[in-house]
Amino acid sequence: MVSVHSSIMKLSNDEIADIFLGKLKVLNGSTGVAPLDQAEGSAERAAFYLKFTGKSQAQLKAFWSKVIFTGRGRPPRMLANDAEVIRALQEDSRAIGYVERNSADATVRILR
Amino acid sequence: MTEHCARTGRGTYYPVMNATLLKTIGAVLVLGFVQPVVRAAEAGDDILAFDAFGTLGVVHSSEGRADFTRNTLVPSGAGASQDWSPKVDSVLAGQVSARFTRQLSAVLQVVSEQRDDDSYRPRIEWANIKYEITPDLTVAAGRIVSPILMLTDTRRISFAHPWIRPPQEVYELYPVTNNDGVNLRWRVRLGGTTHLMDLAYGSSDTHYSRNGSAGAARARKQFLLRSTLERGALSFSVGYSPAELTLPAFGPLFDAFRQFGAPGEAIAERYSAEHRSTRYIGAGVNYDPGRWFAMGEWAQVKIKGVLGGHWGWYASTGLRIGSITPYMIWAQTRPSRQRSEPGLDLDTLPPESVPVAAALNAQLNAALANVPDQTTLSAGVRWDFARSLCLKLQYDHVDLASGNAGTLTNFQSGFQSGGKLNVLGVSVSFVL
Repeated sequence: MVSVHSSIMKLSNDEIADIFLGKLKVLNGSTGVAPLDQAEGSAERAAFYLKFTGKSQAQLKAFWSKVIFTGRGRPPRMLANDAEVIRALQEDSRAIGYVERNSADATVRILR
Repeated sequence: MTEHCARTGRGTYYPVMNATLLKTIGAVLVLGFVQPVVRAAEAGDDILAFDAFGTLGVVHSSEGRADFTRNTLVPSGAGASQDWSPKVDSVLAGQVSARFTRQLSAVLQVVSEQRDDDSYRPRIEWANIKYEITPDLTVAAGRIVSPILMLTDTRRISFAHPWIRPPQEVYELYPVTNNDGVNLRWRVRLGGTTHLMDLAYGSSDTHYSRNGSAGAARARKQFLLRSTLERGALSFSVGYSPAELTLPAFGPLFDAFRQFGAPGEAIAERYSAEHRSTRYIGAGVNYDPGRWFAMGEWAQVKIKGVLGGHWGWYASTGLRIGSITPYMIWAQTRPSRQRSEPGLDLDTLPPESVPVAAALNAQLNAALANVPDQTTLSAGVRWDFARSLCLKLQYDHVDLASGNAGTLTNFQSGFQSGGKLNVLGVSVSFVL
């Protein structure tokens, strides 16, 4: 989900996967996106990545180690919980994050 | 945060830098914070990050009269030198990356692993400054590991791969991997397909020590073009890399041939290892939907002169069952063609020159035949037993072609070429 001020209206599953894997940084040629992660070991994080990328947390770690140690990028900014993700979304219209469905409020737009 | 970073950055990395370019990069990396810290911090990005990876592993080989080694640059490994050798797979690396502005960043990676002189003296693997012209077009200058093959630039990060080490039949075809120069990376997205294009140009010196012969492989005018297509779980990649290679260690051999007049000069001209053009091509495919994976790669090297050409391929598949990943690899490397050279015609030489000429002919033919010809069948398992930690166990059955010593080195008396050997490796890898 994104801030209600975001220009992102919808995203495909592949686009969501590529955004969080650092492969897609600009949408429609101009809109920058800044993905936000939940804490390592959190249930939200494990479920999100398994659904959209098919990767377990160990595979995700292996994936990012290839990116980090070739100087090509870093994983998304990591936040502690749903409340922090929602606060960050309100502050940054480029941000995109995921939370437990019940945690979402009117300040954010649910994409999926 | 600024104070902490600057202190750690200086303390850890200054002592190992030597080359001017690398020094400059280091200085920019460390001194660069002072100004841009606030700007980058506002953007919510990390200014500075420290990361590390490593592997501690031991390897045993059933061939006790030669060594199974980590690559074709080092003098010793498991077998004749050590029953269980930590040299083959062990590595420790630390990296500092800095982002000065949204566009400008730098990375410095120092690696400690067995070197050509058998020491573990740390070496700079990556040191470059990168500028993002757009988020999808970046240019980097400094030291880069050229992505000649699919895994060349990540081959040391055992944690990133299912196997204990990338198949040597393909990854040791051409051991020159560093590139001091410039690199351009361009990403284009069409529908759900991402096209990555890498262009690089530069030079590098790679030191080796094998079977008592030591020296450097000097690659110049090293050009690289790599194109990768990614769509979901599927990726396909092709690479092309021409360069000009010099191995000064062969100089004395061909100088000696030149003493024999026109026929000797013709041989020296044909086989010399000075400024010889090399060409490297490769193609690979990887399908990894998560629950299982399959990948394969093929590569070919052609080097004018004594080194000749060879090719290799591998195919691998594995299954992910929870934290356990059993896998298999089938790999082969072969010379492009069997080569021999009649050399100097001994019948036309004065009797006193015959022994020297015969020795030179023999030395040249030994060098021509010294191209690995082997097939390896491997089976292994990876266990992700904790976050950021994995344990691997791998068994390799290496079948050397008749009369060939494969990628082995440090031959002891009684070694029989063309045999078979079994190699067992156990390792623990981490990323931080």
